[in-house]
Amino acid sequence: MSQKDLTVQGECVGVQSIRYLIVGFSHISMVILVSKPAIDAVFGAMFILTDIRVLLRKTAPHHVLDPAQKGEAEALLAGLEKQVEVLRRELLA
Amino acid sequence: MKCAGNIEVRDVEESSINIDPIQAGGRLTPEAMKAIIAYGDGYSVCDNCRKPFRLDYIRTPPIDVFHRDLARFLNLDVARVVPGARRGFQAVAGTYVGKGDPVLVTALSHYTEILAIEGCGGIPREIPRSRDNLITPDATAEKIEEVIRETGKTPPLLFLDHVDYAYGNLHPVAEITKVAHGYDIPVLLNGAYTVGIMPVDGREIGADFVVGSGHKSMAAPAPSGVLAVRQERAGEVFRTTSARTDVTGRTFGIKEVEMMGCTLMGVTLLGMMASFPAVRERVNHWDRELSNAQRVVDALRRIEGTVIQSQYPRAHTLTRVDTTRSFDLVAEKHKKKGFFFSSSLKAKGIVGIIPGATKVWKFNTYGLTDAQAGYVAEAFLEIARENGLSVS
Repeated sequence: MSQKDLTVQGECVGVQSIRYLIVGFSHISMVILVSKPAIDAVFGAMFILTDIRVLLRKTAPHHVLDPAQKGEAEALLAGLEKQVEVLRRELLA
Repeated sequence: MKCAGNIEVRDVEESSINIDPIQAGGRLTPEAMKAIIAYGDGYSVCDNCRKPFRLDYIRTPPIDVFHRDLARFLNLDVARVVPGARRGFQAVAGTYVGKGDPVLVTALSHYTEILAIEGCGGIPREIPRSRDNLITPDATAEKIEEVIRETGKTPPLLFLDHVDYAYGNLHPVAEITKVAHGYDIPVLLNGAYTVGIMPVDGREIGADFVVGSGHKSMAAPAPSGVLAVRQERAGEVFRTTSARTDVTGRTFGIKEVEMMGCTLMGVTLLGMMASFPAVRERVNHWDRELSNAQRVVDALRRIEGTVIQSQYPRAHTLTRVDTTRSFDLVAEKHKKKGFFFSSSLKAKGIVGIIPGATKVWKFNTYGLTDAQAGYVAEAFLEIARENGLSVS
């Protein structure tokens, strides 16, 4: 597989943020995914949303949060915003 | 909101308190939810499957370690993950039960045990229950004697439910196992309602095989479960293939016949694995769960005419209740008939009771927070008062 092949493959997936840096010439030994932060941010955000989901479960049916739970929710939302920021930077810059 | 097409989002657990009798112990941990997000693709656990190409040898993710942890958790020697407890029953029955063999079950056995026996051509023979809905060692001995007398055969296996599905009663399984072993009958302990929510020590009980359900009691997706066995049984139940095909001469390595090769290969296994540390820890807090169950049961007992049909005080969070002489009397005159009860509960944000049921029904408080258990207890009392029932 050539450098050109890999570049084309990267473009073919249609995700603007996925860019490959090719290391090596005649023999391709390593591919570094530049958008790894975006991938991590997607999972990070979904994991934080999961924690928020669990908070909803624990406080069902009325979802009245006590002060500790509000603090937890606040921290989770702040973390989520950070992950969204990473995604903006990685995908839209 | 839709997930896709015409599939609605399931938000029962987020919007309500769910006291469904079979769903409580299978609610996922946050860790399992996260693992499922990452491992949703079909053969997701197979990325790093190397020779000898078997599930319990995979190191990344650490499926090999998980298998050893499962065996240790149940204090037995060898464990395999299976697609539901019923597949564990099938594997053991397939190993020991032959056509026409009488196989012991109990009057409170789950139907899948009967089907597993039937599938092998065995004949299920029930140990009767006592008046208080328990299986006793004496009844076990009497049944074994009866079967041997009638058939001339010693049953090759006893299926024994640790806690039964009908009453949520905890049976004296160690004593019953001792009786069975007195006749050289191996015992399969069905821990679908116990493994993963309360401490289960297979060796202390004396069981030859312990089966647990991932989706019923180990906070895992369905279908998942565990089959753990003693070392001396492992070579039998987990025997490997010796087949060679006639045309191509193919052989199939160390695939296990009863497991049909690999068993759980995606979200079921990873969900089970991700929940396991929390599951292993939560069994140590069984007293708190019983306390919450007792709180709700005691509230129901305050409603005149209501009878708790399960053991009292409660030894499990699954409870069967008879409200023929309380809520069912209301149903007779209510404009919604029997649906008034589930409808009243739903209006208070509580779901899981079969709509229309006002005579005999079951519920399970497992996993509720203390506040939620208190809320459920008070909700039953409120519904009784609102409908003119006397509350002591």
